[in-house]
Amino acid sequence: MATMTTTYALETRSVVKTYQTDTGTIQAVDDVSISVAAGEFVALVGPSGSGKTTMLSILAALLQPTSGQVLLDGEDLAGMGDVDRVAMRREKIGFTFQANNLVPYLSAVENVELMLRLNNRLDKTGKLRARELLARLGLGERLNNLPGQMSGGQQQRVAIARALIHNPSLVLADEPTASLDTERAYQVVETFAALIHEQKRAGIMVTHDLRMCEFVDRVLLMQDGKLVRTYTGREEIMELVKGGRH
Amino acid sequence: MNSSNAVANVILVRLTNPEEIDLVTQRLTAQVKNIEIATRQTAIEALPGYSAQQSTLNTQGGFTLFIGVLVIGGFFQIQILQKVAQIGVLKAIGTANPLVAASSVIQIVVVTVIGVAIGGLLAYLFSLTFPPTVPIVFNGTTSLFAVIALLLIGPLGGLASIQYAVRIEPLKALGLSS
Repeated sequence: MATMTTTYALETRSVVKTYQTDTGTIQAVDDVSISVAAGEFVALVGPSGSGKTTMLSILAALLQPTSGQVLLDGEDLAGMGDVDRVAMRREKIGFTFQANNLVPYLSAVENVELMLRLNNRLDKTGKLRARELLARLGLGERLNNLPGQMSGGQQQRVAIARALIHNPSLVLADEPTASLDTERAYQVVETFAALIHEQKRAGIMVTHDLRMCEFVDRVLLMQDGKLVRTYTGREEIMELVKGGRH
Repeated sequence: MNSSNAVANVILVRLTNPEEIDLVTQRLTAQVKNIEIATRQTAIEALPGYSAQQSTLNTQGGFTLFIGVLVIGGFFQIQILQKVAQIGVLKAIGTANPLVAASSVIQIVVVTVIGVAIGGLLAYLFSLTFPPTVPIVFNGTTSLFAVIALLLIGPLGGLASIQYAVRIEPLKALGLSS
């Protein structure tokens, strides 16, 4: 009988992050091990102070864990120096943040092309792909608009295009719907999920809005720095979405 | 010269061959009594108050350049402070520090060059309106020195802001730090 092995784009092994404060040691992330395959979209949820943002920062190679491994395409981010981690962020990771996402004096298409420019891959094909991706996200008429001339939802979609344009292995979203109304929030996450599935990226979204979990393949619940539960399967996830509670 | 009513006569002599200055000096000293011979520059510097006034002007010039360093440095520092979030995002998405520093240097140099060009042109136009009685001369050497000094103090003043830009932590800039 043939056995199937899953190759994960992202794997963390016993990740721990502690902070020293005047009052003692804070365990922000406590022995968290997760795996995300290419083409899988995962939500990281939990109450405030659960450690999800710290975990996201570690996955984004913005923060070094105190111990443990973070393997992206088999390379350990935790063991890398600053220069290599910056290169990993540029080449293999895509980001969308809550706010302050875009460079205000660059147009929508220039913001997307920025990722290709940083990677020295801005050629005719890249420029065409940037336009196609923005058109796919419903921004074909807004290519030359500055961020200030677009709505919050449109800006988030530009940020999604920027996060995907350079074909990263891992795409991270930190509360991408925080500043959007419900309708726009659904549109943004649905499109984001579709692109992650289509382009076979590993996607992780940190959110406090459980309704947005409707579009993900798995939900990871964190509490007090620990991974306390995993919701898999459509039925289980929809139950969580409808319940609206962690 | 009458000793009871001392009057100094000043006679300017222009030599067709400047190398003969020693020979002419010897001849004049031999032929005229109570004569003192000096080059034009030495004579100007011997004027009462000239050295003190010149020293004051030079000090003012030096302080102006020093204040320029502080003003330009402050200007670029404010510019960087206004862009902390943007630089944070750029660093988060993988912009390396050397690129951040190089971009800051280019920006400072371009702004300084434009500023000096506009300032130099305005100073020149202003100098054309000076009446001949104003004792200031804008000659090529002093103007060139001022322009070069101003071009150098731009990047010098901006050094602190470049260092600040390089030290921006993306986590803090994005509000992700614990």
